[in-house]
Amino acid sequence: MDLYQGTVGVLSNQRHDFSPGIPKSGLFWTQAIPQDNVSVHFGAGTATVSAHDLMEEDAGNVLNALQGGATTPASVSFDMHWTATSEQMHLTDPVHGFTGDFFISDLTIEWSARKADFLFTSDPADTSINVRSFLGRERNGVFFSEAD
Amino acid sequence: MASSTRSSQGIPNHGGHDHFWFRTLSRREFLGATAGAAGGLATSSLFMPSLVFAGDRVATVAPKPIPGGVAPFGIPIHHFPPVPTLGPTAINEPSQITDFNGFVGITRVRGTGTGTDLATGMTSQLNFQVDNGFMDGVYVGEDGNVHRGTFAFV
Repeated sequence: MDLYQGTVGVLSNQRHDFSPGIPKSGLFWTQAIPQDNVSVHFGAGTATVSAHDLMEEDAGNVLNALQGGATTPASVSFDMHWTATSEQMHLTDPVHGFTGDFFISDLTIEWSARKADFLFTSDPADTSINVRSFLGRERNGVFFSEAD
Repeated sequence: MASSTRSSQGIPNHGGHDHFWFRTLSRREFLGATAGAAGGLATSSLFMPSLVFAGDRVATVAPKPIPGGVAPFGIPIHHFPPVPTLGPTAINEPSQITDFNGFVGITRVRGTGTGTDLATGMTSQLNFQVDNGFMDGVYVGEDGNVHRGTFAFV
């Protein structure tokens, strides 16, 4: 979760980069959360994730985060809502080994981050600018079959 | 939709600096590159959330990363961003974990907010770009057994 002063996506503008870090396995910026933090109504094409006070690291910018540079402790909370904007699509990708049913979706987020000396609070969810979002039900790895 | 109302209000919405995600790696390339870059990866893992209340069902066995990925700044990672589409299908692999069967969501979303220096009370407007997601289902964990779990991609 990246914060910028000025144009987003420009490394020199980035001020904060919140993530759970990358363990030796290479699992990328992924952390366990309580099951009831996620609610999916797949038939309706909607999902909600509400996570609060997740422990993160602030690496300052994405390059430092990927290089495993110095970080400071932080926490984030967020409420995210996926709402399908397309018909359900069945896709199978034999190159990357996944298959499933997917929706292109709209996405809104309201979030906050906290460090010892810093607090960020996003504007309300309805001000979110969705760039690209998907909601799906998929199988990969040992659960993948091209015949699906 | 929110995207059409906000993008016309002068909010920086730069879309041209995603190039560092573009180079994808085959599984063989990925394994070779990862071996060389392993020392550069963060060794910390915040796998467990900070707050776990009694009765919550939280995965305790770590999942495994997807086998492929991209290489931002030449650093291989087990992740495909939601954009740009890398093919062959219309959606990049949205999951961060492999041997997975369940619901998944991923997003790239932008917006604005307020940063506060808690020492001085000074505030400033900040812009954000967030690539987040979730995975909720069954997976084969690092221990080789099947588990049920819910994960946030942050």
